Amino acid sequence: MPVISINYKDFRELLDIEMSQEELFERMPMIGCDIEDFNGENLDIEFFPNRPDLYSVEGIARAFRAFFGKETGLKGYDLDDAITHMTVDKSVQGVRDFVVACEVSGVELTDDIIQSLMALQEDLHWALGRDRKKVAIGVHDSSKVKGPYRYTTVKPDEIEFVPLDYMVPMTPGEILKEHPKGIGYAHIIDKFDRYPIIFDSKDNVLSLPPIINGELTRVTGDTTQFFVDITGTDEFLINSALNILTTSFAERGFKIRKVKIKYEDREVVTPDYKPMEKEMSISYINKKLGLHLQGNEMAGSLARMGYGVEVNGDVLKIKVPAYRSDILHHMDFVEDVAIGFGYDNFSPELPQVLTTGKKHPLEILGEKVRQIFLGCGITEVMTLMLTNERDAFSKMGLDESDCVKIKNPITEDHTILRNSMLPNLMGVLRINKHRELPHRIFEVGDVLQLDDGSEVGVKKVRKVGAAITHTKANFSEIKTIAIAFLRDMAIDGYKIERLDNPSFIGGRCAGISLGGDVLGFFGELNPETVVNFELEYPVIGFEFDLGKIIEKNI
Amino acid sequence: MEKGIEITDEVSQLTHEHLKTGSYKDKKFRQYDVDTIVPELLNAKMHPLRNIIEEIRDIFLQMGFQEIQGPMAESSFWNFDALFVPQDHPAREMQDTFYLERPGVARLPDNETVDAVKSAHEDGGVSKSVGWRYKWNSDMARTTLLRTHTTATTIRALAERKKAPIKVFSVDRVFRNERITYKHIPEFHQCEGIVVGQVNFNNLLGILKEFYAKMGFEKVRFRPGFFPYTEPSLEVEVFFEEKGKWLELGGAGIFRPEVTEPLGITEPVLAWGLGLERLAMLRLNLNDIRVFYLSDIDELRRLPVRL
Repeated sequence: MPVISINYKDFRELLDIEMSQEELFERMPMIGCDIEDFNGENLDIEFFPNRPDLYSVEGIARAFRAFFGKETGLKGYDLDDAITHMTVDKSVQGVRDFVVACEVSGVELTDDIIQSLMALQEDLHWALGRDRKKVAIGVHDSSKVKGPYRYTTVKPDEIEFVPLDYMVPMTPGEILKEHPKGIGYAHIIDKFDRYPIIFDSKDNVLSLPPIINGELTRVTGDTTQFFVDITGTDEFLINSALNILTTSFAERGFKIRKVKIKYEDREVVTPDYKPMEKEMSISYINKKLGLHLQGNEMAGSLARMGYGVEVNGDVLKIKVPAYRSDILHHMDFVEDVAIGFGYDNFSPELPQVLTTGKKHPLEILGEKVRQIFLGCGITEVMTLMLTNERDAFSKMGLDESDCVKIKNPITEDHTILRNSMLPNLMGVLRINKHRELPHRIFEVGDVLQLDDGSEVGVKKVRKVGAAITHTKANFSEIKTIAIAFLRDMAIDGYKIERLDNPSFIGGRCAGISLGGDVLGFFGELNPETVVNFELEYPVIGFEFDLGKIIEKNI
Repeated sequence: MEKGIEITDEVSQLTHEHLKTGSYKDKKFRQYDVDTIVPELLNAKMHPLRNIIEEIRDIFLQMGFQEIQGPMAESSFWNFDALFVPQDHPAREMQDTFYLERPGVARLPDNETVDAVKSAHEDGGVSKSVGWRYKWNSDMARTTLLRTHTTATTIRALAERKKAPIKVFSVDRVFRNERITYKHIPEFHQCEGIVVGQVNFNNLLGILKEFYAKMGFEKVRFRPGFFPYTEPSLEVEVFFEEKGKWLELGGAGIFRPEVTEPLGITEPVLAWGLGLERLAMLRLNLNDIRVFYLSDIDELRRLPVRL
């Protein structure tokens, strides 16, 4: 979720509403944001990824002017007719198909505005552009270049220009290999044998989209006019980005002039602020929200969210501002009605949905198991299912067996998922080796096993494991507990038979079987295993498959 | 003897002998200083998180919800695609999600369901949305991962049941690809509640008020929120009496039609959830999440049972 840092004084000037700072900070979150930090000068606000129109102080002030009732409804912006154009060569098709552009004059820049502009570009790249792949923005000082412009492609070594922050001309191929931005974003275009490029009428290079602008058109504090280009693979999104960017400029009083984009087979003129128009049923919105708003009340709610609205009987005719790119479905309007109405103005009501509660059978079982072990004076612990081969197998003297394995671990401690309970319990005993004995612990939890037959290929198994350590821990003790457990679980007809398990002392481990299935095992841990976990007192352990109880109707 | 030392039979431990022979009648019992310190008893008890889990389960059951559980190892299809999270969304990247090498590939559900979800992504499909406007890739949907939210299990349950009324909940583990620090852990618990029926946004607020009141939070407020699969969405804030301030504690929303309609669900689906470790830490006044999983057994047993 992006955190936008704005200058508080600048914001209050743009907002232009009399309100104490306290009241302002109280009411702001009700539009959908979080005030993260305020140091007296800078205000850090977190907005949501679906509202890129709020990633600049101009956009934020605009939204709040509407929300607080100062300037509601659809805001119109002036657009001057296009004077220049940009031709799009067909070679961009399949490489980076779309472009939009505009000219901006009357630009007055301060350090704050430059910083805010750069931050907005980066945030738009992230939120809309999928890190420049779908949308890449170039803002140029246009005093050094002259239209008409050309958007085309060139071979990696066909031309040279001085990229931003450098002093010597480089070919596009060299830029991708040597310039930091080139290295960072090369993957977007290096699979093609021609790269996108924007020229002016004199073959000056404005930019190598989406990589880098030319040094020629660098924006400085003295810049008074922009040429803006936005290229990308999604025409809707680059238009949204242009609308967000240019309406922010317009809020500052800069003048926006359209540019004609000439594709091979069509022409578009950008930016296009024509609002998307939708019709919604008032009763539908009331039904979804559980409200009983009149048409004009609902219209008022939407007007506070910057929409243009007309009421016609049960129908709301809605005009969506050009800077909103997040309207996918009419439920998006429903949310904005709710926000405009005020989430704190609802009168919550419980629904009439009559159903009865029901516990999951594994949980019912777990409750009983917990009761039994607590009754034996064994305390409950919880451990992570994430583990590693060393802790799960080699320390236990076991060969690695089938288990779920992580593809992208970030630490060597968490590379696989546990397929048994005891190793983790040994780990807990290890953490507590300096605490006074005895230690008596159990855990009820899930382990994962590979299972080709299932949809995902994994089976989840509910188990209980227990481990006890003290000076006299022995087989007899753990068997006593195992038998008591089976009695309390009303399980009979089982067999206790010798089990050979390398984690245990040979001849001091037993399996509990029923109907030919081994349901659990217990015994004295092998001194090698005990020492592997850095422990110094005998350990006895127990593990039982609870899932089988339900599976086999035991 | 009138003065001097009085020799009496003063007893400390009452014995079986005293009782059987009646000799206690001649004995004086030494009076103890009731204020002396006795050794600390660290009794065996339920894990503190389990305590909170039981409380939450109880609340859902009281409200008529059925408990569900689901796979921890999931397909991208159920964890992301069925929830309308586009395939190029940052959340699907390696840094947040644990992808699995083994098993590497999952099966997808039936063709009808897969096609419906595919359409939703590509052009809005049956839900009359504009969708995400890209080519949906079924191989990406087959990749396997550790579920990043219990919503994956919820959406499976909805796809199975389809017809209202439905009230289900789950409390279970989810995974995020993070290092262990005092406030982050790669594996933690979420709880999630779902209501499907003749319900609306106002009802969601009503249910939340009731749910949080049962948890002991009388003062609750709601603010707009954001989740990729709900609209409207909201965040819940509760007033924490002990700390004297408002704290965020959970999120909620109505499932987007792009999620529910491809699965054949026609009625509104209300959903909410919260992370349990955070709640437990607030209740128990703890500062380090590792207490729960990398436990000092003594510290664990010292925590109160009544919160």
